[in-house]
Amino acid sequence: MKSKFLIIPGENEIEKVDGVDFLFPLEKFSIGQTRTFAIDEIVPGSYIYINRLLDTQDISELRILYPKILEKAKGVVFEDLGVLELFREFETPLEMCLYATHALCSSYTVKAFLDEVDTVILSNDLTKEEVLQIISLVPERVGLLLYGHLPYMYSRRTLLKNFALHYELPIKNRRILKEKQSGKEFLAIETDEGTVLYDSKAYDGRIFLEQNEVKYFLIDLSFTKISSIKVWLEAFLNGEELTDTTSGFLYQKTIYRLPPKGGKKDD
Amino acid sequence: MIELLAPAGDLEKLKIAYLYGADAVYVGGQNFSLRANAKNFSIQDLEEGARFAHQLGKKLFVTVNIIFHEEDVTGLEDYLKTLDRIGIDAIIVSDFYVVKLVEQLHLHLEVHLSTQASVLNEEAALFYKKHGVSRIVLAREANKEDIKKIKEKTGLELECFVHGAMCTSFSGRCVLSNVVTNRDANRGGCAQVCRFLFETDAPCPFSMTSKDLNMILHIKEMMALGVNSFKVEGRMRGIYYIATVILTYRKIIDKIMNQSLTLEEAKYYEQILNRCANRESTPQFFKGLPTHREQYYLGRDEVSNQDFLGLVLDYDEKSKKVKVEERNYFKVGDVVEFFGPNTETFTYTIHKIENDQGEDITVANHPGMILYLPCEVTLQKYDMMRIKVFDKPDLL
Repeated sequence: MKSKFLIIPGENEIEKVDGVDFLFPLEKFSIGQTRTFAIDEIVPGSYIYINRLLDTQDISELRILYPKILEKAKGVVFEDLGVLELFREFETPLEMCLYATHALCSSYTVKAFLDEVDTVILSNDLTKEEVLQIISLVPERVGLLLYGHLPYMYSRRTLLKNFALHYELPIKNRRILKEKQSGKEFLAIETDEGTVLYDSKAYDGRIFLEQNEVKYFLIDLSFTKISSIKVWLEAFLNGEELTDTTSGFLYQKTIYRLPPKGGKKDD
Repeated sequence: MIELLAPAGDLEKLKIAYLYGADAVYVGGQNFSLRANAKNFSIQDLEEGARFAHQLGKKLFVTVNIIFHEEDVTGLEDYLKTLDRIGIDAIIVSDFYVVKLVEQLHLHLEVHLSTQASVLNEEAALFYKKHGVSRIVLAREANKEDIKKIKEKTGLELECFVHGAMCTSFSGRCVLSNVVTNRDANRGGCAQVCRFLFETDAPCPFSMTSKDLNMILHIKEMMALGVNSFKVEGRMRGIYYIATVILTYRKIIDKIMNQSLTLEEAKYYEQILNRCANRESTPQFFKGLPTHREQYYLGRDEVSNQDFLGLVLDYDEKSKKVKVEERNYFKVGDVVEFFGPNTETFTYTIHKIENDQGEDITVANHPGMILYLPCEVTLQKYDMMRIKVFDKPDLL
């Protein structure tokens, strides 16, 4: 199987690239983006990205928008299962791809969802071994993030605006936040719909490029300004070295039970 | 159906919660549950808890609410069958695999969808309803219009948090703990990094800590919107907190149900709740998006509460003495209150304290010490003694 690239263009110029489908964050229905697209701006035959958690008012508005989405899109990448259920009411022919940022962490869960949707994109909280295991158990319908800033937290609150209002500072919709003890840096971006905290460094997942069972490789250029997507992609796929990237959790297995006092973390 | 749902971190808290008025209690087992570092319940504890609940005509729910990684699935099927066999009334789940597994296994227990799944709209609720979910624990971000519409369109039982701590993020949509401390938030290891301080380009530290949730003044409206279960957060909380919060909500709910609640009473109960909390609280998202006033900006801003003075262990009708286990310092001359599930709150001035040797003492200053106080009012095991701070309105 030949994998496809899904690219979130960010603020870069859209250009036709072979083997690439664009994934357009839909205005008002996506979160944590540097650029969103009104339905009329979306290139026909593309994928539409709806990654917000939607309230009842949003669902009503999405219901109205559906005919236009159907005209423009060939698939939808979404987080909220309300999108799936709503589109099913229309007996949608669109490809439905679930990207639950933190909730698709086992082959069992992936298989459960694949009874409901066409494809999924795995969560970003997995180790390399976990990713390889899942794509070997569920081949050909699973996508992976290949490049982009990892989303670590999504709040409905306008945290940056609230901070500015509290201290009477100028309101900014983007800030770097540094956790004092660990020194970890986060890139916070905000709209009226909420705040997302990303890793301040881009994730590089090219170790998975040889995995032929992967259906999609997602590339998020939201925070990467380049002169040409085509040129950048070619260099990226040819192994050009990138500076200041992160491997996320690929080599960082998390724990959830604290070791007994005096014990080791791996106890 | 209207239900008051309490948290419990161990069997003692579970019993306190039921005795103080909870209709149902939710607990975590020793596996597959968030709050992985709480004591949590063994299978034997769960059996005992379920027996205790059912004898009172009440319910016990168990959280199976982690997001599963490959390695976590071992033993899950047997565990679910065991929960079903021992009579657990419902499990609270987040991972869709568990929803489907219960469906496949044809178990009797109900499936309640955890707030970790962040359901905010009727379509998402309908998705889960088709897979056998009987109740949705709504995202804490749901406002009153969302609650109303979800109820109208789905007919599902709705459970809403009404009291306790809030995540800064949508619950389940945060792995800051994983990044900063290596502890997996969605498998029970959350280190609450959202309560840490961050540096930014501003001269003051950045913090995103939310104030707590408190819906005491909106319960009636929530009932009218169709909320069935009123849930208190806090499986890690102590017995005094659970007793006070549950008893207060019990009284509020009962008075709403029999149409006798006055604004003056509601305000009194709000004061009681505010006093026993260690952070400020607000209604958060119920009426719309919280503003900058619903957050803290200097990290943890918590007040240690030492109102809980003693737990009643026994009462001797003959000698008219109450046996108390001390929890915080008190002394002769202090004005305190006794309260309990079947004891109307009353004021009591401490005139005399006896230790377990029958000797008079003037101060109780060793938590855990056993003491005897003369008291004309009959008290019951699990009643509590606290500092008196507020005057109760006469009509209460």
